[in-house]
Amino acid sequence: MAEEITLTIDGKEVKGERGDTILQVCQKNGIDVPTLCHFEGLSDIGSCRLCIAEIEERGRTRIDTSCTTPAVEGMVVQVSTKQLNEMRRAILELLFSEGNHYCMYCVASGDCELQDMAYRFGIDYIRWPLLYPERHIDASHKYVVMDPNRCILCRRCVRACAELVGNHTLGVGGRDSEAEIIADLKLPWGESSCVNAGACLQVCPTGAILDRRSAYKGKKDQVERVKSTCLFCSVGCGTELVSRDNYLIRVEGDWEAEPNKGILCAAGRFEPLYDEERTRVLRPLVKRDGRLEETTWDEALDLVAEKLGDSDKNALGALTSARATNETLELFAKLFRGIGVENIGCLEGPIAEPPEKEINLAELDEADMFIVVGEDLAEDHQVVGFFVKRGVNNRGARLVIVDDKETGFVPLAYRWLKPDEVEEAVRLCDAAARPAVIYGARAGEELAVLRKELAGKAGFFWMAPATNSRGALAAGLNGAFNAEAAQNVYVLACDDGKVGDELLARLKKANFVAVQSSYVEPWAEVADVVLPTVIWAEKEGTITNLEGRTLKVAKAVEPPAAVKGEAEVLKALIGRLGS
Amino acid sequence: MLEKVLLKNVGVRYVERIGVYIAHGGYQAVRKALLELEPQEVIEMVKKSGLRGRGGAGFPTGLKWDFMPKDPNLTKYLCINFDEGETGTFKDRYLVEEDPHQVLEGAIIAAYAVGASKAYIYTRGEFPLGLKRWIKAVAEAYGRGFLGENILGTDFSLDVYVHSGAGAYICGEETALMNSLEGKRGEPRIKPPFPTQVGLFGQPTIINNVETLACVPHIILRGPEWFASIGTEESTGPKLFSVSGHVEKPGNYELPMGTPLREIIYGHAGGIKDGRKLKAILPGGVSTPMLTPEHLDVPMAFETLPKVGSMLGTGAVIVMDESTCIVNAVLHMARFFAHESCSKCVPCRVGTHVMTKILQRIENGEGREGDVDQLLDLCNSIRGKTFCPMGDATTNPLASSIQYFREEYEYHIREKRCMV
Amino acid sequence: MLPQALDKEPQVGDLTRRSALLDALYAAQKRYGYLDEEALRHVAEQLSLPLKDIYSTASFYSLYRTKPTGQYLIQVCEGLVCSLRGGAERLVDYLREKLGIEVGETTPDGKFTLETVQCLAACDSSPAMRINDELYENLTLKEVDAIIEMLAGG
Repeated sequence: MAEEITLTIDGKEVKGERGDTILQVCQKNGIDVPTLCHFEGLSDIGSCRLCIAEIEERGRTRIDTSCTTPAVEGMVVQVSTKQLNEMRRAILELLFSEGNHYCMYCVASGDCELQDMAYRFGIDYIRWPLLYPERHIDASHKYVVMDPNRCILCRRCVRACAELVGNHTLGVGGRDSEAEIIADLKLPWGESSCVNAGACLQVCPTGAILDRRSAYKGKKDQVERVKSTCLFCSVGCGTELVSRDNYLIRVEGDWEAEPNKGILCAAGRFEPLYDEERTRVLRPLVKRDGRLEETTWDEALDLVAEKLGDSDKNALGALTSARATNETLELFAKLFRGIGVENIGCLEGPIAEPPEKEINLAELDEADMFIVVGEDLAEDHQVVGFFVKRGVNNRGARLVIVDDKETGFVPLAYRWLKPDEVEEAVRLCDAAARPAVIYGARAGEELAVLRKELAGKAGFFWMAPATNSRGALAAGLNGAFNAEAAQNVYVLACDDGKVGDELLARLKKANFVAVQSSYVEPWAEVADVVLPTVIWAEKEGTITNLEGRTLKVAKAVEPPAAVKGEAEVLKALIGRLGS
Repeated sequence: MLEKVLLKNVGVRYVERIGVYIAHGGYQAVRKALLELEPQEVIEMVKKSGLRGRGGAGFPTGLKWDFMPKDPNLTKYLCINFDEGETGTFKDRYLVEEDPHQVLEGAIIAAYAVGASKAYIYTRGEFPLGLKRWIKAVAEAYGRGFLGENILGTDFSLDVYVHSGAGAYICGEETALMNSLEGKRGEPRIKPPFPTQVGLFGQPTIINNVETLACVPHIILRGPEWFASIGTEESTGPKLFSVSGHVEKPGNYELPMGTPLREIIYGHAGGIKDGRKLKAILPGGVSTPMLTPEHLDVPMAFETLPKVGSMLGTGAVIVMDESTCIVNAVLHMARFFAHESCSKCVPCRVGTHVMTKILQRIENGEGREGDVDQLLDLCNSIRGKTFCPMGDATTNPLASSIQYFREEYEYHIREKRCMV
Repeated sequence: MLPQALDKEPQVGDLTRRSALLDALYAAQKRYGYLDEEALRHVAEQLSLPLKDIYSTASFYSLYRTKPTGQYLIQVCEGLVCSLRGGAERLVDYLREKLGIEVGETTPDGKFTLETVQCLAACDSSPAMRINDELYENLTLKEVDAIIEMLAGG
């Protein structure tokens, strides 16, 4: 429990904690101090000088930035004097003269912290001569554009890339007027070691780093924001979905959400919007003469109910994507068990239940050693990978990889061991105080060895294979599915594209397959009926992430007219099946 | 006329070699300190002597040493600041090239006093001869047992490393110097924590200037009272004044602290070159406010120069005669600061460039009415608001030049040409 | 954030490796002639540091050359003292004419690169210039001429 201290700010007596900076004390007490380079969650560097305060300590007065000065008992601080505001205004005008800040056609106009500051201080003209530096835009990156003309060198992006993502791609190059934000060896961003996390994009106060797809699509007072959960893997990062007039503009990380605290990876932030190429199903489809044709809901549902109701119970099968919400999965289990279907399972395959005591994501920030088993964190669950990178790069933690495959994290690793060398990993743990074992779908016998040898010492962290694996487990859907035996099958595919080739091939041989899916692909040849359903941004409900945390999914946009919600379709089916 | 103290060995052939240095009384101070005195006693002696840092800041050296934690189990470091980059200053280079062992001796005593086990000599990258001198001196000292394990049979061990800078004036600032030693950009650090608490590699560290350390052996051998008897009440000891510019005899002059400016320029440096008239003086390098002939009687000491609106800085006296265009001179200084700004904070990074742009405009005959007031406004926007004291330094010559030579600026703007 | 964590740039790799960076860059510069991408990558690999740290540090210091330079790098001091009485400017103009290049350029035969630099601490013997690692002071135009001729011939 930190010691309480008292100081005087702007004539008011306020309380803070030992270890707070003056800025933190101000924030805790609702005193508004202008800042630009400060960002909650990043270290403070005292670069922009806007938060300057007059600080009286032990009889001496000085001017210093409140974000870097520790608050001390008995300090007398002024943050809101006329004089300080005049100084702030002069400094802001210097920022405007440094770059090429043309608000009138800037993508961030209306959404820009620099502009907000200018309004706040009533700046309507720049007293300093403009410097007109020659700066070149970098548009080489797939998702973001870097425009240094708008950059104020606040270094938030550098700090975010280093401290939050742990990737250390961005830095500051050059000196004085030639200082600039660079990637790697001043490479074009699109050719750099960037992993497309997009943290830089979210922290940038101006339009220096902008998201291509959402540029000019809506300013902050024109858009709606909905807090939701990313559905692209089992980490379940908290997101804020930004939309306008029922059109999804952008995905941002929710800074306050557990477990990710605002960071996202490309799989959740960019790919769903940029890289979705599948064909959306807008109306129920029925196969006639080998081709899928549009039909009505009544016709489609009747046909499904008929085929499921008719056949021998043993020949029935039901498969669901484990990306569906908890509510959907429960309903699914209830529906199909209710009509006697026993051959029931997940598209992703059977799920082994992890043992009880597992650590959560935040505890990875305390690990001094990571053992990653059977998982390529460069491809999947990338946010977990960022936690590992932070540990290795920023805290000097060691990474040991136990894997057959040479995963993307091998260059970062202290040792790369094959599964049969797992004893070596155990031995390396002797030097660690808080090791963490992160294991994924491909983990085999070596995991059992680690569990046995490191019981009580290491924290274990399960990379659940599918988004809502835990939900599927809770609904009893984790068993194996017998594809051979299933003749009439119902597949709840959601918007999940992932289905194994083998399973697809078997389903092709089945008698009748009804698929509830958002996209036609890859079901075109397999499906006899396709029932259109919502995608991730149109869903409501909850999922349970890999930590066991129940997270809310909220919809940002309405689905197209004839598309129904996940549970909605199932309920309509229940009605038809009369059970 | 003061006897030569710091420059006592200059002129002795090959005194940069340890054998010659020892023959002229060298390393006696190390012997006395290590064999006869406790570390705290050494600190008290330096405190009593009144020695103040010669790198520009003028902080009492003994007091700084006393701030170091006394725990013998903590790893502590000493950094020798040989990043002499202040325009007009060439005393440290002179000391190291002529008599490196004197500084090394002072460093060994300093390390003993504060309990440092390692010392780093941060040499300016542009001083290859200085680097050579250091490498040789350090090697010789190891050879004779003045460095390494159990020096002179005591349980004091010291390792010294010579490190080359790579061209950044700002690395003369102590926290930037530490960052540079750590292999990073030479950007200053947030204070607090101060170097004596969290310094190089996170350990308690003392950073001392070359000239400061050169004083130390003399304090040990001849006593703090003797040292304090030279100079003024608050600025004690001998000082090397680097005099340059429009004087007959530019060079380094060793004189007591407090010697009047007039005596330095006219009594030692031979007066203004070619018999011209004095126009302006920068008393402590380009980071100090300008002075005019009316200030010639000011004693050159830490406490006296602020009374006439300037500061001692490094004591590098730059003399400008009547042929100097003040606008042009200040433009040169502005360009220097603009080039050396580390880029971390807004007022310095942008302010120095705005300053340069306006001055360039005036110099080119494109000055506008109101430019001078704008320059003063700019000085106010920078002064006190920057991350490190270099920000203040950038405004010193500019603001003071406007104070004393405003008509020259106005003339430039009005007549679109130089007054001289 | 606590004061101890303020301004603490996350440290990739241990401090020993990072503190070798300035020396490593000098060594690479010597070996490769100048710090091109290959040289920087080599340093990054040897020290196991992120590329951005290598570039960020190398581009901060003016003695690291990221562009090819001539055999002889001429750096004329243009500090205040060397400029008083136009000494430095005269020197630079003379060299520009003699070598036929502008400041920042290299002669076509790759022999000389001309630059201006800040104070070399040779203020009592101005004007001054550095050519590679050698300092030349108290220069007259005649002397400069002789030096250039001598180096050009060699």
